[in-house]
Amino acid sequence: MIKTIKFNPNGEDLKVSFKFEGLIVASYSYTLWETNSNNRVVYEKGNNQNPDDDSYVLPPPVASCDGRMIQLRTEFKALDPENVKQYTITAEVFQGDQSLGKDEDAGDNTGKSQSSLIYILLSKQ
Amino acid sequence: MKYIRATLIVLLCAYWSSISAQISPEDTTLVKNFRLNFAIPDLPAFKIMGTNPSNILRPSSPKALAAMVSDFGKGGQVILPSSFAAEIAPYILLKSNSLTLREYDNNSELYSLRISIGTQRDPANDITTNLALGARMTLIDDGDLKNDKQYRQQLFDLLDQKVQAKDAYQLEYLKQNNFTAQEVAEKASLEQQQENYVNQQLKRDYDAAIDSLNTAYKEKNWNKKKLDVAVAVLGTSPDSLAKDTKFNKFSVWATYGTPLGQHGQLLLGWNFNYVSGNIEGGDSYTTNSIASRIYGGENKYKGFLELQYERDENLGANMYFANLGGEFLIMDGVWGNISAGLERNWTDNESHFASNFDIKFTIPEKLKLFK
Repeated sequence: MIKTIKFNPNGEDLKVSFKFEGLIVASYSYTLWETNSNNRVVYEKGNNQNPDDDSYVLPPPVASCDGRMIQLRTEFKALDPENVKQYTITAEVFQGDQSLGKDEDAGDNTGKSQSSLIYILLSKQ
Repeated sequence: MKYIRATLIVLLCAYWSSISAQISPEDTTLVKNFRLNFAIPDLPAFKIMGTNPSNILRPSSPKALAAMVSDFGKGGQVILPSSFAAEIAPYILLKSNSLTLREYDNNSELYSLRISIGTQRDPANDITTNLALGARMTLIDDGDLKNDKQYRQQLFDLLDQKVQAKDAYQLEYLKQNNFTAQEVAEKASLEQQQENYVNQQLKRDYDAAIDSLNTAYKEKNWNKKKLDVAVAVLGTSPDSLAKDTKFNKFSVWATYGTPLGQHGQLLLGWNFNYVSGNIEGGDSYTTNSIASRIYGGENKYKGFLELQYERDENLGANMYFANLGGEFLIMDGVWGNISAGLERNWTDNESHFASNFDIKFTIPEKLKLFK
């Protein structure tokens, strides 16, 4: 289900960061959907090989993000499900350096190919 | 101490039986096909107790928790095992579910650190008790898919293709049904419907492709290069309560494994022991040994041949040991190891027969320790 995170429309730039825990190999797509539309404002692909490139600044102006929706689609596989039993995939929204909130998906590592889908709706305060 | 050990062993066996009974046919298939169930390693705290004349410490992939019991026979009768050891991987237990791929890559040696403890009722007198503490690290492990960049890249590529295909079918679903992405996200039933559609439309069986990647890796890599180093200390107590424990022995091992064709593995091992004169009242002394062991077979069933030379400064003797044996998967998380050989003191021209049977345990797939 969708999670709503509020931001200051007059504040600093918004940023979304993704984190993949539980010793998994993950490829993902990040989509920023336009308000009430199926237009993609942003569509990026990535993986968790390097966590430094798993953060994205949302396109300014900040106020334009009101009503837009972040989607994180992840396909992953656990590398050592025998020893590391659970995964957590997190999408966290920041304004400047301040965390505004996050949504996460957690579950058991099965050792097979697994999927995750996270939605975050952005709303101005 | 005797009763504690007996209780531990009985609980361990009962626990493994109950866990194994819970494994469904589906889980068994999962374990059978997709798990890199390499043989679990010897434990340094077990090895230092000298239950077997072989001084080679078999390298393998780290497990969060492993245990061994041995000495099942005495005078031709089956008895309660007198040796017991357990090993934990502290970094795995500590980080566990919060571990990221980057953290693993930066700390893969630490990930392989294992600490073991062992206890043994001395088979010579049935009174004194040996207590052991050991540590080991894997410095090279080319047989571990976690360290294989090529495997990982293939996996990233397959997963990336799957993500893109799903995104394309998501757009198709939204267009066909005249929904916006937000409308679907706000209603669980619609989201489920969308994902069902997406999964049905996928032309390629990505899951099978990913699984076959793992299966192929397992068959090809069980015998790849490995280098393990380990140390252990042994203390001896004059009674079963482990009071007045005195330092007895210090041991170091290094074992290098390398492939011999598709179905073989060669191990080269070195072992050094410093034995204190505290216990028997004599002089302290050292022993040094080098050994080679050749494995042949498949991942679940392997036979081995071993040759060992040992210089024992206490006896002033050159010892040779030839050993034949096998290791086999009994059930998920339980391995058997059986061997028999001839130990010869070349200096005194004496020989004797030595046999051994160990059972090694690790965490079965079904067990969830860290919820």
